[in-house]
Amino acid sequence: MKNLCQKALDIVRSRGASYSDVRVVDIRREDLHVLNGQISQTDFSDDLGIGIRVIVNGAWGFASSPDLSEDSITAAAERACSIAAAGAREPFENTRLSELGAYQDTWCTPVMENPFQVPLETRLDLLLSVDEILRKDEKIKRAQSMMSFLKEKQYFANSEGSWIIQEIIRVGTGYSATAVHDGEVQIRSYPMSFGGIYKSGGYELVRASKLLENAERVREEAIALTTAPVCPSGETDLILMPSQLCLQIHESVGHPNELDRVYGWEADFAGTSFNLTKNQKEFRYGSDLVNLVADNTVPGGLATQGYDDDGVPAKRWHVVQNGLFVDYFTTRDSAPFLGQKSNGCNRAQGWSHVPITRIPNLSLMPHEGSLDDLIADTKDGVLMDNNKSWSIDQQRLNFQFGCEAAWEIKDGKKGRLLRNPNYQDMTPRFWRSCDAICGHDEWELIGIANCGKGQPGQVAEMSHGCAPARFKGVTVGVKA
Amino acid sequence: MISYSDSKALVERILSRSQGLNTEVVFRQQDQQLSRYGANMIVQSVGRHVQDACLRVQKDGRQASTTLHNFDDASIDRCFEQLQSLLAVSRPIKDLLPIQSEAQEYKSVDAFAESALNHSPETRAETIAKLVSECKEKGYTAAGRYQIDTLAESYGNTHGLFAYHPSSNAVFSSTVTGPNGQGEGWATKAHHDPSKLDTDSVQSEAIDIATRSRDAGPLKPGRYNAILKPAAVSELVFFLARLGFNGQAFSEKRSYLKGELGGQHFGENVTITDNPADPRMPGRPWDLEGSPSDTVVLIDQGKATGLCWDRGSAAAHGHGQKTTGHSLQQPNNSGPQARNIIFEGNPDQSVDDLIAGLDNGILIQRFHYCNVVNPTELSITGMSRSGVFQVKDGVVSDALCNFRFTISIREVLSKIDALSQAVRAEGALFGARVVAPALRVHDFQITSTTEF
Repeated sequence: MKNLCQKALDIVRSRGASYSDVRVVDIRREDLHVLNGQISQTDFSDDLGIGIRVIVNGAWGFASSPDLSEDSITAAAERACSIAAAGAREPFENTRLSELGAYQDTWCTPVMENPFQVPLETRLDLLLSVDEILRKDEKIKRAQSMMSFLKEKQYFANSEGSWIIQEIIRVGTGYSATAVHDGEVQIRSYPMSFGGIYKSGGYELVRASKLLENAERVREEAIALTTAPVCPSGETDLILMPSQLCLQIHESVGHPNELDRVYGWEADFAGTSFNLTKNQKEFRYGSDLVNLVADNTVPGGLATQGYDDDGVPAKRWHVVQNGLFVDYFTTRDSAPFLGQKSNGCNRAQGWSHVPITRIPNLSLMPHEGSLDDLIADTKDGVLMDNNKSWSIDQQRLNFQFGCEAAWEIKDGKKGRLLRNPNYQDMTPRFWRSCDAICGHDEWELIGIANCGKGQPGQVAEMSHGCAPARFKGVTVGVKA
Repeated sequence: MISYSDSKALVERILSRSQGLNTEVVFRQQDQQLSRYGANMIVQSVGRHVQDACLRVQKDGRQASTTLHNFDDASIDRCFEQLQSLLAVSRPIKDLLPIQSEAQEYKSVDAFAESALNHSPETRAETIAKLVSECKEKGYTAAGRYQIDTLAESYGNTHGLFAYHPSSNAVFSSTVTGPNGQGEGWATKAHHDPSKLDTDSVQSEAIDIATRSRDAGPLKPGRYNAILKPAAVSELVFFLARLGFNGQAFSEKRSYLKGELGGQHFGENVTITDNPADPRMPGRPWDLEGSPSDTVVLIDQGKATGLCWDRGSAAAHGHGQKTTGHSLQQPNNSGPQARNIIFEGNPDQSVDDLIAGLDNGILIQRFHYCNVVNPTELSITGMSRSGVFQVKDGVVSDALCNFRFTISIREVLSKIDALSQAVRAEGALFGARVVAPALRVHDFQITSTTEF
């Protein structure tokens, strides 16, 4: 493989590339889905290909191919160079890359139990057992469960002498129950909505996920939601469980601090950011309690790997420290605009896409106390769990999230179940209103496996750790 | 792009190695040429070539599926061995619908233009350079994309069915921002024939709106008379299709129809069809289980009259329901999907006519990041983007700040006072692509605002 990559680098250098990198990616995927007692979807596939990225006369070019034959690699390399050369003209500025050393390294996701060696029957039996519990009441019209394994072997070489081999393994599992009763449709999911929970690691994560233990509760909550009162409207104190807070972090801290968005590179599609570079180290993002840390070395994180797709080593840094904004997510071609080196956030989906700025693992640091303590300390509020819907403006300020379920909190006690809860706020006001975050024992690392960005669209994965937290005076129950 | 004959040969080679399994193959080959620009620079230039085949096999009442990415004989054989392993652990599926065996007649839809094959990166760079040069002169910044796609799709199965559909698509899109981030204008044009793409109009429209949308004034939450331009309407129609036109959701009483067709849910000026043969937005005339796609009248003068079905959802529904040819890749959990949505407008009215007929209200260019609030109420939320303007006495005047809306699609489409001519429109983020008019509506609900 090294020779193959070197050949591609040699071709593009001879065509005038001042910088180049080559990624060969081999992806093994094993997905099982069960719907209402039957296997509904399976995907057991291998996907191998090459992506070649070059700078010619100061302009980027990228070409990809599923064919690793010599002729095909030559054609892709020449295509990348010709595409780059076409863009090297007035009035465009030349691309600059931040400095980086050459690395020769290998990195693998730590795995205790190789998921790909777990018999299919074992995986299927678990999903069907969950399904059986979920469908024990006829009000449950759809019981969906899934198990997903992915192994991504990446070979990276660049014209600066790096040669890096990485093997990343991710697993995901979860389920949902949809109840239909008296014209009302309600869903409950476990551990997370939109599929389930995802982490990097082995089958030990599936074994630890307590799928069976939670199925009956999930079924009964879905049914109870169909007759629960609607979440009232007004301003109140809001407690978010990690299953929702993770997406709050993702949308209102993750995306606005991608430096490509800040500079307007994504303005036409995903949008820009309210958090301009003049804010660095001065802007009050949240209350003093709010510490948000980016960390692509954290065990179990979906973005945890040795190096990004620029070949930059993974690292840990504060994005928000004691409420003050500190730093962005950067790549080798965006960091020079800040006079910085890349902090390693350039990633591509598979071999066929060009790497773009991606949110790293990004976590809200825990503070103190248990969830019970937090509820006991809340006189009047609402607790919301598991995301159902999300929407945020193009500068990442005005957001509105819907959740699967909520509970009224009165005088320090968790009360009635509420259906169709949602809340709306503005990003800085919301984070500045955070007055309590639970401690280490309540902290969870939750994977987002479906972060869409870019054109053509790419999906990336990252994790957000958090403990339940409380936010003061939030608008809830927005109605059409 | 792979030809009819080469595609057929490849599909037949895959089927010939299917080890006696009833097999269905959906093959796709896509070439994407793209230049993305932002902050007045080209930030990505990409030539992307991908191909895959989705395989579904059946044996003794069991079913399995997977995706094949490499097409040498050894890879194909490994893939079928994997499918055999999956079948071995699968449970028999009650009432499994066999892979389609009846002979089908596939119509042809002209959705491919040869000019897509000859489009060069130099042309893209030149077009973007022209736009960026004007923006730099004005102190503006531009971001967007110029993308040319070609796609060949084919369907084949071991019962001898074969269908092939080539298509192309060209998009030039631009978001222009004024000095100091003040004002934002957006325009996009799309056509299946790149030679017919009007890139000059994108440049002039985006710059014009960016200029006019500076110094936006405040807008209070409340209900407004509003003109929604086609891009904004495309988002409403996209979510209506996702929530309301799916036969499986209807059958399971998960949709707003609560199991009953025929009701008057929208205004009498709302007629929506799904039609792959409409020349304004030609689409694939067959679905991914090999059924020809019918033209379906989904909303007829405000009444919910039709739905999209695949073979499985139609069979499960009973009552003699047949597929309408709207299957996604089988098997799937999502059910059938409308793909070629045509919201009929008024061919005698332009957007300017709608504006001229509005005494007091707002003009909305497009929406951003819409999402579902309550599927059974057809309610969604989202933000405005790229220009909101006051309209007074039939004239567009001051720029206004962006807002969040939380609305029932049913309510908005019941309060339409006028429609313009329908055009092909592209939405934001979730890929809405429909033919839709601009709408003038009353009581459009704004629930919160922004300061930009």
